[in-house]
Amino acid sequence: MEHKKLPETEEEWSAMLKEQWTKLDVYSEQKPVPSQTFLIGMLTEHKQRQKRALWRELSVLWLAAAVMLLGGFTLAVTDISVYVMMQLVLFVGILGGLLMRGYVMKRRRRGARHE
Amino acid sequence: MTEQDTIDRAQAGDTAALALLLQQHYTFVRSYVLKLTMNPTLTDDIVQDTMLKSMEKLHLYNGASKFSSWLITIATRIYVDLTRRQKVEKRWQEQAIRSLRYQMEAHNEEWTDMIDSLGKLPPEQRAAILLKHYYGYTYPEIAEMLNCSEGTAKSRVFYGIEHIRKELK
Repeated sequence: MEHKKLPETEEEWSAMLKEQWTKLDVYSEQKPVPSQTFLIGMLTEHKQRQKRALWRELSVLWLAAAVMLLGGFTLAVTDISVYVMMQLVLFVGILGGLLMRGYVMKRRRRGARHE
Repeated sequence: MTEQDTIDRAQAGDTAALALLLQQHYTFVRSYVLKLTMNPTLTDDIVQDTMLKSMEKLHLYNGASKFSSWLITIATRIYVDLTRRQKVEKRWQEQAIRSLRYQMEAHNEEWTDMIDSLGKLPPEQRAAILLKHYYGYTYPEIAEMLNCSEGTAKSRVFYGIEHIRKELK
């Protein structure tokens, strides 16, 4: 391994780092660039995979909504006081969850900025 | 057809146009990612993820930066996320650097102490130094790319250079 004199100025550092990092290009250049057909295939497959995942999520959401609606409706018909209590508990829970999420995200952002 | 025309077509949903764009920038992105990760195996994975992510986020590209800069921003964030989730273990990185060294020496490229010390840098410092000293981006641009403040970008470059200086003394 070689030992060169260390650069002093920013320009000297840039020149030296450029020279060193350029050596790695030999590795990148030896690998072939994928054909357009391959890239189209990869992108199309990913698009389809994403679409399938979205439909799956949407189905789960619809199912959950249907269960909630039916459950709520049954409860309201059977015992209205329990239904009102459940609504209150849900409201407080969701509000608490949202506030907590906001607080955690703010802390994480602050952490990244002051790193 | 200009690059902007191809971008417009890709944003309108033309997969072939996006494939053409990605093919044109493939070598640039791969060369950047290899310098960033210094890990040949990880490079291929990150380049592929970058291509796929660019398709998902293409509607957000507004031309404020060059398309190539936008692609390497995506690649950088994927790599930084990966290292934050500690998916790149130290021993794997050491093994990757050995493999890269072997590949370079097989192509008669000298492996220097400087390259060795670049490989030992913390990923976020290496990214900041690469963007500043190799690609010549400004600190506000680096901050935007690394999703941090300008001060953090400056300190990453500073401490990275200090790290190399100490290693090479």
